[in-house]
Amino acid sequence: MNVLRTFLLYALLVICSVVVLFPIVYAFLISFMDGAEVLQGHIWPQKFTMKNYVAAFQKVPLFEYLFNSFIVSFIVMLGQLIISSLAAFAFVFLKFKGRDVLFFLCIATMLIPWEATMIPNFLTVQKLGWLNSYLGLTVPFFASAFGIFLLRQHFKTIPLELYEAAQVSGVGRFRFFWNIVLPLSRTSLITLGVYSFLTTWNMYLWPLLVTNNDRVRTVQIGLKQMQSQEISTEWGVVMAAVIVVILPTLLLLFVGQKHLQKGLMQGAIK
Amino acid sequence: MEQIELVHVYKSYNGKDNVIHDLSVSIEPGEFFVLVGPSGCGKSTILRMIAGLETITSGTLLIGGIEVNELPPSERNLSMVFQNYALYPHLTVEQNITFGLYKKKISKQEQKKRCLEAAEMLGLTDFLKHKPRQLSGGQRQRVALARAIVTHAPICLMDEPLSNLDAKLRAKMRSEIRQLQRRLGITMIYVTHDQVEAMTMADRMMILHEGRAQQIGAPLDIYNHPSNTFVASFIGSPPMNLAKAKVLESLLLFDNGRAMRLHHHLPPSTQQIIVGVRPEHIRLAKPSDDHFIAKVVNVEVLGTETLVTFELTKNEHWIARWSGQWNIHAGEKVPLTIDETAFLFFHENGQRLDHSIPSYAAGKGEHQ
Amino acid sequence: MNAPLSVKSSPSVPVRRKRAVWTTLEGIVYLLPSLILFSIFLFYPMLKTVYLSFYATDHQGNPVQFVGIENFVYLLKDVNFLQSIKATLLFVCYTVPASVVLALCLALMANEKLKGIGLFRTFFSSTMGMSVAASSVIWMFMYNPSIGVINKVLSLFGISDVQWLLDPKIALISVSISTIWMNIGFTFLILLGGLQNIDPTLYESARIAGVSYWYQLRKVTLPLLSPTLFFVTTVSLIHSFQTFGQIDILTKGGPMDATNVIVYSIYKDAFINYNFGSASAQAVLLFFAILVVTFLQFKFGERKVHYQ
Ligand SMILES: Nc1ncnc2c1ncn2[C@@H]1O[C@H](COP(=O)(O)OP(=O)(O)OP(=O)(O)O)[C@@H](O)[C@H]1O
Ligand SMILES: [Mg+2]
Repeated sequence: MNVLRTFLLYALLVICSVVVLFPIVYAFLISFMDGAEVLQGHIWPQKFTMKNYVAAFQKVPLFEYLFNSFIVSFIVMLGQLIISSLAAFAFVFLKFKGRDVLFFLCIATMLIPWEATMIPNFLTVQKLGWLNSYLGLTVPFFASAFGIFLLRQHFKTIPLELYEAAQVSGVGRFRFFWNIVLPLSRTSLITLGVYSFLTTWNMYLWPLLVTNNDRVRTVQIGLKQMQSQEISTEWGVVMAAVIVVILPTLLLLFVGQKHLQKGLMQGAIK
Repeated sequence: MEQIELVHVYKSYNGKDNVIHDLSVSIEPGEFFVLVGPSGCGKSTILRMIAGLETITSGTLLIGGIEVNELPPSERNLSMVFQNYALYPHLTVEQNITFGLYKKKISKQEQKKRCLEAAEMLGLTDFLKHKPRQLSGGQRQRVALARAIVTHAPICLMDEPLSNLDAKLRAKMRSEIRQLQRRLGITMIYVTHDQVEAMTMADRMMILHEGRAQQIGAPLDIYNHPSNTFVASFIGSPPMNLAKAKVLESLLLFDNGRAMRLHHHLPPSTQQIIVGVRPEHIRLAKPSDDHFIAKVVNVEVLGTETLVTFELTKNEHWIARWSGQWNIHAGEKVPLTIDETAFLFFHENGQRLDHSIPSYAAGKGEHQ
Repeated sequence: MNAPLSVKSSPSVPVRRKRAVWTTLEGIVYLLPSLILFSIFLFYPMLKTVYLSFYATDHQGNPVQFVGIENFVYLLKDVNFLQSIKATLLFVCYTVPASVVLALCLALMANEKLKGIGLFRTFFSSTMGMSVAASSVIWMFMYNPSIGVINKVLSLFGISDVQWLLDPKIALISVSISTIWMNIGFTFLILLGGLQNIDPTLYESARIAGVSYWYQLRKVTLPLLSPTLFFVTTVSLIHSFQTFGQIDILTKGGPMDATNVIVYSIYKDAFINYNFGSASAQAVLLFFAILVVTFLQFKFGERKVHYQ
């Protein structure tokens, strides 16, 4: 590769990075400005102040929001991992009548946009008394066709001979699932885990519908609240909250990026 | 030790075409039984039916005199070694070896003891803490063997266990497996597509072709008395020479006018037959011998033996196998002779004709 | 051949059936959690949505009166709904192609073997970690007409006072731009994964043949990437039909319904106007729209896909 081309590539990469990262960096910088400076429309803060962060935690229960989001995302992640891996195991290793029909049914659920079902779902959750509770925020998302599909694709790469060897030596199905299949599928389990944590953390419409008090409200709704209430004029505080909210997912993304990059495709193609 | 019997067993995967046709065989306790045949003939299918990994479409499978058609694999009390070893990649050698013992209600100590025993037997003691990927092909093979041994099952099934090894290691493992089987006294059913493996290892073997048993018997019996042309050409390397011929009185007439005279050892009465001769039975003729002249088309000197390909007729080449190194070149014409007793005769449809009858008897038969 | 031994009865059917029943039961047990949840939170509500769409409902969402297809007829005559369809379609056209093309360019660059490329990959995928709410808040500030950075920069060029989110002519485009930015991370990550799946020996053989970069891109890279591109386009299409968060935060469907995309319209009808019947009818139409788009994608898009 010649030098000119390398140079051009780096230049392009840098320019693109600046464009892509700008909004995040911008928010980061604003979060350190005091109110007057924000109103002047500066980009670089003249002096960095942590006041906004303190204010963000004082004026809204940001800690509680974060905690709620964390709990909800974690439960959904766990639920999806367990339930999807059980289903995927049955679809790969158990042969029984009607299995393919059930699989087709599961895949067909991908075609139903979640928004088209939200009205009855809201009514159901309301009837169950799950409004403003972790149950209402998590349980509807435990079953995931995408998760089943992703794990199934990976389970299928496990040589059938391993399963047969286990059968011949009298190892039970569940033991095989627990001791062989799950450890061998660590990569896709991590992929699915990261993915479901991210999507749940970032979920917006459903928490908006089923929460209306601070006890269970998630950070995303908290952000909306902040932005639409009186403190919305204090942009510095809002941006501080934004930074606090995106930090966990950005970190998770950076850690799990390699897995996602490889793993998500596996679910889609092949 | 238990006897295994298959009685009129059929197998079909799609409900229409039979992959295994009417297979009946009885495998004796303590026997080393080899299933051999070309790729796709149904060897694995048979083995997997015995293991219980495939259902039997019709017929009966008996182990120790009891019908086990419907028994799940784990209750058949057998062990199995797979072609790709089927080792659990994330478990250590030791965990791999003992993984299947869990359900058999065997104490931890006993598990450990058996594992060490098997590891010692197979020279794996130093590798117990390694993962499979840190092992060489031969060592992995041994782990798979150890896993079969520790179960103390009286029957062991092996599906082409050596096909991933290089030639040298294969020869070594061949004898190791054989010795192990003798020492433990287990009944072994061993699948291979390699006739050398079958010949060297088997007490008895079954040759399969397109889902049908062609012949069952001891290796040498099969080598010397193949029951049809398929077996004749499958067993032996290089394979038996075969050629179509007409029988005229005591003459064998090949295409292009080549003829051979037989004095005592005539085929039974059929006009059109197939003649078979093992390469080692074609000799260079001494002046006194009845001989024929043939043109050499290729010579392969292999060190201890020489393979000479010659023209039997214009478009049929036969091979002769002589021990030692011979200085012969393509294009030369050489006098060759074949012992009369070495001729085997097959019907046009491939079936072996009844053991060749001395000429006087054959003569009678021919002129009835 | 050995003489057949005693011929026993053919395989006992009852035993086999019993075993099959057991396996089926075991399979069902593994699948049960998923099946139950799908039934409660997906199949049942989907059917219920269809059901509700034929009814007039009270404020609790109870069906009061069967009205047949009246909800639909009314919708199709309703200017607001037609506007919402128009907004949705425009939004899809603005965001999907741009997201995919931009992400593809980024992925192609990030797939080069350079020092420090991992850092750039992380940068480009970073918007995937950004929630819709957080991103929207940031963009809201950037679009702020008086103190936002965008107008500040434009004023350097003598353009001033663009009402990004309040001008009905621009609002949808503004929302689209911020959405494209939000989409890039995910799309980029998937495309990069697809690029890395391509067998490197294929590039090597192209290199030995001495073809140019663009030729290689057209003849090797893109055809081999086509399954991924197809996947990503389909997902993006479906996704953009479901847009809600950025609308809710940035424009609330305004100004003058210019950004009132369908999901937002459903939300407003159901949870602000308590008109569940009409909202359900819209949800049914959304379902069919996505079905049709997916179907068309598979019918016409997949033809151009080369599976390896
Ligand atoms: N699961 C299956 N479904 C359908 N047909 C099968 C299945 N397994 C094997 N067959 C068919 O049955 C026949 C015998 O296959 P089998 O695997 O027993 O051959 P094999 O003798 O073991 O061959 P190889 O030496 O290549 O392993 C083949 O024609 C194969 O196509
Ligand atoms: Mg086989």
